[in-house]
Amino acid sequence: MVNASAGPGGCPAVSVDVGRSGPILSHFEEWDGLREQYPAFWSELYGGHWVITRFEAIRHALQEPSTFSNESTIVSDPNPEYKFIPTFLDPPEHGKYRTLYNARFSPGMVNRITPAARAAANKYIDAFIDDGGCEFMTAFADPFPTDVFLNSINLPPEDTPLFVGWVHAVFGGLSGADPEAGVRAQMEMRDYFKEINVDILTYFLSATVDDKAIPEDDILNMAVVLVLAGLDTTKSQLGYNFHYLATHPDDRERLVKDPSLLPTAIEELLRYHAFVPPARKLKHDIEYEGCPMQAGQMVLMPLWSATRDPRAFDDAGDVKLDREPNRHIAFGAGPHRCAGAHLARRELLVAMEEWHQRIPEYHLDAAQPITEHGWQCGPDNLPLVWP
Amino acid sequence: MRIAVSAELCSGQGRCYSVSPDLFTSDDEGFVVQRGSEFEVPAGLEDQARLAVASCPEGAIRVVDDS
Repeated sequence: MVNASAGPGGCPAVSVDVGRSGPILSHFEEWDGLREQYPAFWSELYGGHWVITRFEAIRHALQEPSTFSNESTIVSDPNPEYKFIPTFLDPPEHGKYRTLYNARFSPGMVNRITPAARAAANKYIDAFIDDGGCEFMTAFADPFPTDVFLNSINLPPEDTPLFVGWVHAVFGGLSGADPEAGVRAQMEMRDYFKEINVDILTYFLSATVDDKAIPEDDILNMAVVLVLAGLDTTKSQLGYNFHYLATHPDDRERLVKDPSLLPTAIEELLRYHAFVPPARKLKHDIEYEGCPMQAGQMVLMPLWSATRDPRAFDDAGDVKLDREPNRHIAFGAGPHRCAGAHLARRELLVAMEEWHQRIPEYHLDAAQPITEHGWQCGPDNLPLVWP
Repeated sequence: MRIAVSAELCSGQGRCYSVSPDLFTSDDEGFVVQRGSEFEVPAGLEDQARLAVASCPEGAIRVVDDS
């Protein structure tokens, strides 16, 4: 519900809950309205925080860590006790860790793991193709990215179910649904990484920051962040992509007939469904988008509000699979731009290539309502059927 | 035509070397090799240059001289 009243400095105060559940796409559609009404507003939810809605202001904020700090990125918790590395770091400290990730998840690495990704996609499709349908989120969107990701950091793909469970628990914890389960899952992940002797940990263990080894505790944190960042996200994007194609047969047929359109189409589907809502903590007072924001306050900046902004994209509300140029910020902007973007794009491309070669025609099992969760939004379910 | 790639703004989004592969290349970290440099666009690649300018989400590429 949108109830505008007077907030700090005369700026509007609007109660809109980015954490709520609802029908699929409802968050994006709600914010299409909010953005046009308000360039910025105050929300009393989650302890009170600012919100900015438009492309230029959001991009600029993400490019300005000296004002909009990553000290906390959790809107409800400006002073978190746990330490997400490198998420909670600002430059110059941030760059020292970030360079490790860039090198490890480079375009070159992504090329090397592509054959394994293709095999994984087909493995999961094999399991349900003859059933004439599947619950896409559990049958494909959850396990496929997990499998590819684990393989890319040389963890055994057989442990996919373990990671799927942990990620669910941690995100359930972060959203407040079951904090204890979330903490337990984080500890179990750390124990897992302690026991296992693998490439990614060897990589971090042999790395130095300021010529010093990284403390083991930090390495375990880094491994946990990697898992959290890499899995839930690609899963949600796959869900939105297949939801769109299941409900837009003309566009689906276009992609089946001309798979060379897939890379451009993937960018457009990223733009249309940019489901991550980053938050930043203000390092100093600033008048921004007409609002008197104060040091220590949190600012929420949903990327979907930026990527669907008609000021930045012609016909922003329309999906145009051949849209070019497409300078969306679905992977964020600035120093914390998603380190997994190259891997994510390849996973999406491989998944969509392999799927449409084998199951070119499919639609929604319309009997069931399709819902999405909030925060890092994503479809809860996606029942597909095919001839 | 001269273009420049800002070292400060380039975050390695990778759009430039994806949409204009004849003009831009990725380094080992996913940044564009031409990051922090200004250079003359080879004849015939002006359209790729313009596409890259328009495709960079950070706005890191700009046309310095369009003659």
